[in-house]
Amino acid sequence: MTRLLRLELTRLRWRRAVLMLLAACALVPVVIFGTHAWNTRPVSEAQLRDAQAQLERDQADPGFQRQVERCERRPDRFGVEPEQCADMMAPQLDWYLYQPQLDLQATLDQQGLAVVTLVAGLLMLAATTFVGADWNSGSMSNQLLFEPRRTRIWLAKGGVVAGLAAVAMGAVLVAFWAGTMLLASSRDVETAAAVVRDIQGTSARAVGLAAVGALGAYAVTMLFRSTVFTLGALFAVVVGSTVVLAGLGVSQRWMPHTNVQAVLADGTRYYREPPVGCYERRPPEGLDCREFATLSLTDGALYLGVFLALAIALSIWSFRRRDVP
Amino acid sequence: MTAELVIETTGLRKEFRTRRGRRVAVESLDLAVPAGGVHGFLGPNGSGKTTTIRMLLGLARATRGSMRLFGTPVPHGLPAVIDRVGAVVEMPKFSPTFTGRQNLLLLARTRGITGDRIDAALDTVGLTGRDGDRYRAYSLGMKQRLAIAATLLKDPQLLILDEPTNGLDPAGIREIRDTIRSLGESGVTVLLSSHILAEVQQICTSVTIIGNGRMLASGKVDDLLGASSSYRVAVPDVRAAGSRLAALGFTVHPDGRTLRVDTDLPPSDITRALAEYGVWLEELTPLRPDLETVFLELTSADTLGHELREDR
Repeated sequence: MTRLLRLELTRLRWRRAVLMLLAACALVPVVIFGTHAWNTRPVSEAQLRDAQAQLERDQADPGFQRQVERCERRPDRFGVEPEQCADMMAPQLDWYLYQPQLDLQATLDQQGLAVVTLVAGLLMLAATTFVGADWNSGSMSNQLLFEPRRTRIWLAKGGVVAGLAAVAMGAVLVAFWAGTMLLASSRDVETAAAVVRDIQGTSARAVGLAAVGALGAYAVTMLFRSTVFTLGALFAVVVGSTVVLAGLGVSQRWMPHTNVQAVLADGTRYYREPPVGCYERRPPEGLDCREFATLSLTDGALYLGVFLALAIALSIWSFRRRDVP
Repeated sequence: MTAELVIETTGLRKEFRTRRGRRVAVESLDLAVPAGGVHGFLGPNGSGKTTTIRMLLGLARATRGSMRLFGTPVPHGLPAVIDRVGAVVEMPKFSPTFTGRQNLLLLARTRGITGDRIDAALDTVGLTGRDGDRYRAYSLGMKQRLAIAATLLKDPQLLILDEPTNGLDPAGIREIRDTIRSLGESGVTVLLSSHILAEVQQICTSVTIIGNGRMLASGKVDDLLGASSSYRVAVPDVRAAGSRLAALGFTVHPDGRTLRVDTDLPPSDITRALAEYGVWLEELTPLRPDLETVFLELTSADTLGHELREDR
């Protein structure tokens, strides 16, 4: 089996399409990191001067003074004590500096998620391209003439694909977050221990998700024996199922992206339509009328795991039984 | 008996499911290929040759029947005998973006075969020097040679070649033919499926002919062609010689400036009869059917196939 794994790794390294997709995986975090670093760059002296000038203009505006006086006359309308009015209504310098500053939690929720999503997609594409080429060229039959144990071949290819996805995602995230941490350090941005733990946890789950996603894409390609068909099927699942399920009024709990989000973020909140009874004047006692529910990591993993297990079982069964062209 | 057979199938059947129902590709095929020599596997297009080969190699599942390679039941026991079997099935199938050497290297590594054997195999098929080119840049003949090189990687005791000379030029066909012949002589058993019947007749020691998935005939080439019972006779006086032979009980058919004489007697009787009459032979040629004639007769008359099968 070790020999087969090494062999498939060599085959993977020699596939140019896979190498190009891996290069794209390396490029994605670089572009996102660069854009994010630029967008959150420190405020320049010129920007600060402009903001200060704007602040002073607004503070000198009679309208602002009238508003403060109105507050002081009727502080109850503003929900503050009279002496708080000036502070509350006074324009702040931040208001005039529209440039967001580097925030690790926000980076994790936005740019971090974008990196994981794009790289995972590319790795799934690499997985399906890798094995789709075997079917497309017909070389699968040649391989079977040298190793007729089909399950071993399936496992070796699948193992290499999943391993590559995990390593690639891990490398990408390590590079992205190392760069982001260095950037934060150079800008004296505080790095809270809780945020770092969040980043580590999310990254670890992203590595697992990438491996599982690539393995799933590989299994589907082995089942349908075509890269194009697999891409169509994956598109149908990701986009089509969401549209269809939403059209049928199925809860977001069953949408693929909600479950992926739950796994990545260690649980997620999703909108749920409260039962009809909640709209009555006196809702029945005990009726759960919350509009948002929480989907746990376990539930999300179970949802994705069922699909993956089904795809793998069908794929191996089909590969073992069906004639190979 | 089984131990002497390299390939043995019993009651082999293969059905394909189509939109119109089930189509039988191979039906009750009992194939027996003895060890050593080159065995021809003949049949018209769609007769089930490739399907049979694919079943033997585990690429297709038999619907019914049993198969053995080297006495080992396949496909279950295929892993135990795969190192002894080399095969080219239909068109060569390799990764087009890899070089010829890379393709061979991947196959060789599957069985732990060293690079020396790759060099030797490339050399045998005359691809040394072109092994660094991408497979998609190869001509059909070069692709075919690479496929044959792949079969030689394992140092096989059984070679299954399905149309191995497809796409080769005359010189290439001759080279492959010589290679197959020498392999057969060296003790390797070769199962050769080919449409080029003259080629099969030249290099095969035995043949199996199938049609519509059924066995039509099987045996040694000489036995299939049968003993000659017809002769072309050229003499100076065709009319006189014809009369003389007819008078002695030979069946004579004038054929232009020669005679065709049908007889079960040995040809020396024709010589003696004419010499005693003072007619001297200019030519006496046995008219023996070639493999193509036998093949066409068998495959155009299915009933003959059933009769032959019953005889077996």
